[in-house]
Amino acid sequence: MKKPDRERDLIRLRIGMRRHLDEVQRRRARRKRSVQGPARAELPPGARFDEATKRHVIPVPKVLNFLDNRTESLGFMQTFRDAVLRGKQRVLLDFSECTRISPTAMLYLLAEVYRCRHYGNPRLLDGTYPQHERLHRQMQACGFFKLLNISERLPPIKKVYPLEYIKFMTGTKSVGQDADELRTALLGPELRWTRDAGDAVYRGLTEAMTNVVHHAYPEESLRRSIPRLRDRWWMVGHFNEMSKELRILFVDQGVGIPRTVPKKHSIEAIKAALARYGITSPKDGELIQAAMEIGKTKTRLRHQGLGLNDFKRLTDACKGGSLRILSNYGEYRYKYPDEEAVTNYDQSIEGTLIEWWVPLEAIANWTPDHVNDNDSHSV
Amino acid sequence: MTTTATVFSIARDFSRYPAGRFKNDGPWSGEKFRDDYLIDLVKRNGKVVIDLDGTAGYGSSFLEEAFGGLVRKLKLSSKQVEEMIQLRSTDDSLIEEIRQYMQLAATDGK
Repeated sequence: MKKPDRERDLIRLRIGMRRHLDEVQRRRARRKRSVQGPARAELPPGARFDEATKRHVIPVPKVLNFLDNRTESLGFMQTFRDAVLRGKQRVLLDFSECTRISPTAMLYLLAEVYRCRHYGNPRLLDGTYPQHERLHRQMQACGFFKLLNISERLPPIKKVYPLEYIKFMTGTKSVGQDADELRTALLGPELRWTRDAGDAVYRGLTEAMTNVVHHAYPEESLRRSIPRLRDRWWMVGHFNEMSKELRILFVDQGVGIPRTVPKKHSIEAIKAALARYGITSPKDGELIQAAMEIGKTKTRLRHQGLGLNDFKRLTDACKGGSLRILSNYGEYRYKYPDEEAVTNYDQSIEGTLIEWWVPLEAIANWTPDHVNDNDSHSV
Repeated sequence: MTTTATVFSIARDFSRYPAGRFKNDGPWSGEKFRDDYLIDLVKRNGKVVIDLDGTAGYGSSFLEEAFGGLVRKLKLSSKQVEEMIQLRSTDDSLIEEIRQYMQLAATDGK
């Protein structure tokens, strides 16, 4: 009898073990729910039930930010999502104490609100206007109130480019026109990208869309208690006046790159990619890094990789800036020219979020005279 | 008698917004370009000049499926690829990228 390849089995075991355990836990939870009835989401401290409107009022944390406040930020988003989609509860998001939402958290929040409003009963989720005027303006600019189908209260202001926020965009296909629209809207009619940077923005976004259509929402992932919107992605553009950086953000609510990598690439390719970093027990962050590495090297099906290396092109084209990919429990960061870092967290974002930080050198004709009146916060 | 190669501009004759690999990915995919335009051009004309300029950009999925896929589908050799497809662009790196996809596809086919 042929001896099994021990190393291959060990890698397969490690990669598959957590998925198996996750699946066992999910089945137990499903069995429990089927006995107990629909789950009531555990509401955070500070949440209250409003008898008059029969709604759960959930306060939005003071700061929503995946860098400094990941646990509270994700916890809040997943709580209201579970309450609406699983518990079928009426929820009001109370923004009155919230003062700051980072662009990353803003896009993630938009996507969760979109899912809640479009999958189930749209009347289950509502929100208040923030008291903080700056935040109010940012939320209005990125289309948050329109998404909730509530009126925009602030009068329109003169547009100064680059725009602080452009309205978020969403779709289910790889549409080049959408990528072009985002990069054009962010800079406005006078500013223009350098050729390399403009091409790289288009390439990164269209490849991200293509990846979502191909990999993010396999059929079996759609049947779960928290539904996924098939092939759906969201994106937004942002300009930070303080750091003088453009940010382009893209998110999906799919199964995540760490779960896709073992399905799309051979064990040998994954092992070879991980060996370059001396990794033998990969977690989600390392699997994202492996996916980036595989994109550079030859594989059996090399013409159908995840195309993740296209994401680095923008930082390389600008000779600056950085790329951040958050997927499930992992985070991968790349800073031009060759700095990489990986982090693993206790809480999953349950999807993939790609963030490009782009220096103003990416804009061909920007000068310090293009003063943006917006008073942006950093991060 | 000199045969003039046909010039096909992707931006003018196909779309300004090529994106995606397969037809299911989006409206102007690499597969659509290859199956509905490129293969016919190559078969009818023998030699074709593809002008890459003028589009909003390209993704690697589109390029690989269009050009690498052409080589795989027609089972072309490296020599045949060089003879039949001439690429034109102000961006040399784009031409080089496509050539690599076609060469890899020709090599994989052996």
